[in-house]
Amino acid sequence: MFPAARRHDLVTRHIPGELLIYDLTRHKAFCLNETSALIWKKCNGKRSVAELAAELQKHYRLPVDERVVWLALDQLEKSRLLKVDAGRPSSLAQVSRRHLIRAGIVTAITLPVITMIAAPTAQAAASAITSAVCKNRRQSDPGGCGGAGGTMCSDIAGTMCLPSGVNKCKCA
Amino acid sequence: MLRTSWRTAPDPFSITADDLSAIEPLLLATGAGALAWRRLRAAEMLSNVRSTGLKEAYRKHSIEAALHEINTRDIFIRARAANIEPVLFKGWALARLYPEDGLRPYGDIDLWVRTKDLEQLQAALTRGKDRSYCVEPHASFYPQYERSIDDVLRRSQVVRLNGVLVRVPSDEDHLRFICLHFLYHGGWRPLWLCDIGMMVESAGSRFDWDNCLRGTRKHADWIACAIGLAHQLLGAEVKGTPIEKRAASLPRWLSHAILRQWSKGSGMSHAEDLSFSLPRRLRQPKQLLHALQEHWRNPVQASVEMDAWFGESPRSILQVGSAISRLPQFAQHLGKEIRRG
Repeated sequence: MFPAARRHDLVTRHIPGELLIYDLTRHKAFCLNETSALIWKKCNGKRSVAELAAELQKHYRLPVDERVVWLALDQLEKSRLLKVDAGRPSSLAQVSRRHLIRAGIVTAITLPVITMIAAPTAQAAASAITSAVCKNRRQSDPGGCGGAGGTMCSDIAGTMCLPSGVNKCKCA
Repeated sequence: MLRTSWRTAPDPFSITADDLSAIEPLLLATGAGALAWRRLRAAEMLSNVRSTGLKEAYRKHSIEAALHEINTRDIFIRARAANIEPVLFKGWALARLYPEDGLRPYGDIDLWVRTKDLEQLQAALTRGKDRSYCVEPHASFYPQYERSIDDVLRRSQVVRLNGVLVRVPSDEDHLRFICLHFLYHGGWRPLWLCDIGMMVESAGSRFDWDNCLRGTRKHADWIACAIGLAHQLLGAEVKGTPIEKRAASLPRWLSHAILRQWSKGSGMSHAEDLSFSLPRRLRQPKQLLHALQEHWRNPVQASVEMDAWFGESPRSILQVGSAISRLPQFAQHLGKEIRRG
């Protein structure tokens, strides 16, 4: 009942009204709105769901139903952003935004939302070229050879277009 | 749309939802989506945004910024452990000067190193690497840069990045480089002109214009023209700089050529150079015609390739010259294609 946020292998960045999280192990990026970001930050393994709701209440200075917290925790868990989940009681059903709205729990605060961002990994950003193109490149060219860990040679498996000698490039 | 977008407080402006929808694909394709998003936000015009593309670009670049910083830090630690002192240019070295993270895209990590250090740097960066990143080490410059790696290193500066000192070029050397880079690529990305505008406006009283423009008169004029374009097209302030006069009298073809290129929303990537892609398309006449149109150098790129003055004379002769100058390379590749059958 004391959820703990995962902190390892995550890169975070704040932008106005949102928290961006990049998972270094799964190469996935998430965008947390203000409410879900607040809950994630407060999940220290020592606060209960009721206490998290109280924290939200304190922040927004408005009454907050515990089901709002459960909605955020469900999403955090699905996104693998929790180290220790909240241990939902079997009697408590899954909460969805629609359920909250239907149940009349439309609060003045924004409901928690976590969305996935299409963030390319370094590998995905690397392009592929042929060995002929690589050979004709010069290190001084715009883009150079492609660099260490950079551009792959598409026609010679497992090779990269790398600097070779003075101002030359080759697939190696 | 991108006019003064790099400033803490961009100039006020307005745009209709229809106009925005029309240019959004161009902004996204050229990496300027996040800057556009910020300008809309500053002008309180987010209600005109129909799609989430621009905001998504801003989020994506913000995350890329965080990853790029971690990787840059890692690279400098590794390089120094191998007794190599690289100079980081473009990427974070430029992005750090913008008022917010995530306003420009991050690609490969570009480094300048001495030729003798190239192989050792590659080994240092590959050894025991637990994360994936793309590094492009460069040991030489455009000939028109007219500076050696030793010159650049001597004048370089160090800036702190999460506890690590990162070496970046002096502002003068960096501005000169990004101007040449913009021209070499035919100026196809408006973002690059924003970088130029941003650097010019962040140049303080200690900025040494003589150092930036030093070299042959022709190439100093190229730099002046690139900065002049940032002034004419994007509103960069050049008052009181040595560029002021040139910025007010740019050749007539120049801004027209750049705007025409921007309206296409793309540029020619180096790997798809005419010499390489044309032979492969010879067997498909429709594609061949398209390729020829696509690879015809724009007036800016042709002028640079032919090392010509940015004067008032027509550029068509330079465009033809540029195409002819690449014929031997083309013939060589065509021969290889034919032999391959």
